[in-house]
Amino acid sequence: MNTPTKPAPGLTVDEPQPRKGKSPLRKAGTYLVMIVITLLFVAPILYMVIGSFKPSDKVLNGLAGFIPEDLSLDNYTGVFDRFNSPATGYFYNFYLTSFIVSVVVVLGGLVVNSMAAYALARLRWRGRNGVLLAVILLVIVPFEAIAVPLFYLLNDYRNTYYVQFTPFIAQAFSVYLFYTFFVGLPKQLEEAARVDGAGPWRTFFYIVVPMSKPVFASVTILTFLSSWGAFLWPVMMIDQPAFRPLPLEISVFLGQPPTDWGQIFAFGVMLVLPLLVVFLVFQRWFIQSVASSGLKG
Amino acid sequence: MASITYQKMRKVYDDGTEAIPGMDLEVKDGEFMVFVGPSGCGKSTALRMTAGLEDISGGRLLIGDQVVNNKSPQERDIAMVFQDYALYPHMTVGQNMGFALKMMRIPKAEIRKRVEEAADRLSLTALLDRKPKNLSGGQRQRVAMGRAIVRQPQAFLMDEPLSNLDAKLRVQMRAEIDALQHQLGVTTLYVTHDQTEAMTMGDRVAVMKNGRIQQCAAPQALYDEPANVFVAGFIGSPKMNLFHSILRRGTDGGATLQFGPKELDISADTLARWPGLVDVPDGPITVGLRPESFRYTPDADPEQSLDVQASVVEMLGNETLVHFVAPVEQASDADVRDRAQASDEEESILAGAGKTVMVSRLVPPVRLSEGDPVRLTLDTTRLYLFDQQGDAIR
Repeated sequence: MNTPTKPAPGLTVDEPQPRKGKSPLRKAGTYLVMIVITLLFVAPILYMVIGSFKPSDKVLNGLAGFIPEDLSLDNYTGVFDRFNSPATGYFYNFYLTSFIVSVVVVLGGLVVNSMAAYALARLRWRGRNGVLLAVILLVIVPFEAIAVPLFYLLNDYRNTYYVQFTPFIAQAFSVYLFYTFFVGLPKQLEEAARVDGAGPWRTFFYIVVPMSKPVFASVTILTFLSSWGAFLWPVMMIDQPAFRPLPLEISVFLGQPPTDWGQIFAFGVMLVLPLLVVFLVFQRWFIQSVASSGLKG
Repeated sequence: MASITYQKMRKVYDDGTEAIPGMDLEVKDGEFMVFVGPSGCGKSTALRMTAGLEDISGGRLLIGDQVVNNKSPQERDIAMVFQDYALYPHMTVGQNMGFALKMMRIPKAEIRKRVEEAADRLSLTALLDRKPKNLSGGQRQRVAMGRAIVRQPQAFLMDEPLSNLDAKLRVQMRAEIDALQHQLGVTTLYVTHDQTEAMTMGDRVAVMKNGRIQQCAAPQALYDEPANVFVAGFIGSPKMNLFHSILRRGTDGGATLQFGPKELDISADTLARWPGLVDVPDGPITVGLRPESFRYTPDADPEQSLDVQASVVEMLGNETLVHFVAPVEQASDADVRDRAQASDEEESILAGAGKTVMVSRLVPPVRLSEGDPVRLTLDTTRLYLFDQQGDAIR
């Protein structure tokens, strides 16, 4: 049987040393700071979620509003009941409007902006640098600055789905996000695809798009967030309940007496829920590394 | 399979840089042609132009009997193996290998059959469902080869495909690629900066510099009969010892070459090996000596030999490389042309003035230490002579 041999006198053996940790006090301090910051973010959402299940008179009740008591789904059914006529509009219809507009903006944006960015990043054409500069400049122009010209341009299309998604499909910021990602992709893969017989279209759809999941996920989340929460543009263009999206309707709801905070909170929860779903579905690609594993290494 | 012909093919970039001033070469059907040269010599550019990844600025490129200057990569029916393999990371090995066939709209059953055949040939069958990130460097290299061979193309283009492998694997893959090429008989263009790869793999090797082919010949011919100082210095490891000297003809039909304070006697018979020397006047000349042209002769006459001190000794088992400082001025491709401007008198002074590190290869190996005195004899029948333009005198 082998016995472990001792090192000769004078020799030292390198052993993995346990990592020096932070002192318990310091650790506790760090956790405390993190908990406080987390609470600052979570508290309003928690307040809204708990409030949406409580009777209206117990909702806005200071810190006691966080205490879950007398919970029921009454506020949710109440919202559906209040929006259940042609005059008020139907709740499912607001949802449908927001959903249709956001899906078209997201999907259309993914196709249009990614292809525009690919053309800027990889194809050689006259005026490319000028267009790229224009895209970068457009990123800093706020929507408010172009809202009025757009209003006059699309005035004939008020109270339609079309007017709600058309101006937002092509987005300079999305193009810029795609562009910065595409220029960082290894060119050799696209060259290999060209040699393999793929033209620019097939190279884009078979090679570039599958390797660009992280940027597609990022753009999906950001576009969905802004589209789902769009308010200013619908205020300007929509006055019929049949075409109102959720954010516009919740503002109308807020202004209608009597103010029922329980129902408003329930409305808010239903407004936020799809955002949460989209984020959970796509967030895993946020942290996915750039597709370079087919290269050396 | 097809030949590849370059007729005054040029590449000029938008900024006016002339990467390839005019390339003339015919790669025969089924031939393994290697482009070798230092970084920036234009070898990869020539390959990429052949693939259709770079535009051709002038001249003609023919694959088979078709001019392909304006044809897209897919229309040229070539397959390429990239330096970094360029495997599609989101596809499995099988999908990577079958991608080109899919682009050609070949039926799925046929794709599967051809991929399986190629995988079998390259011992990749067990890896067909893996993604590239789960493969070793050697396996990725094989997949890249597999992707090329499933297409059954007119030609293979390989751009330094072994440069990312470790030394041992590189030797193994070198042999495998060579064997595969000979089995398939597909015309192959292979780019490398490694002259050992070039010498061991190519049927012919084109040595390039500044976008020009300096010499294109069989590997042994390149070694034995380099066309100029550049090729002489590039091919061979350790590289050829090149130095400036002065040629002086004697009355007996022989000649001498200045070697520092000494003079090397060249007999009339030896001199006759260079018929072209008749046209070269006495005076400055560049001389090349392969490391194996030195012999270790401790008992030789000091007048007929060279006494040096070993500065570095490399014992390689089957041979010993001895580095020493010789009393001559080193010649290189660049300075040979510069020196052509110097007067004969200046030349004479320069040729005896310099000091250069030379390498001798001693076989059988000799046990020596750094600093040891070493007596060497030169085999003057194995000298290489170059004129003032750096071109070989033959």
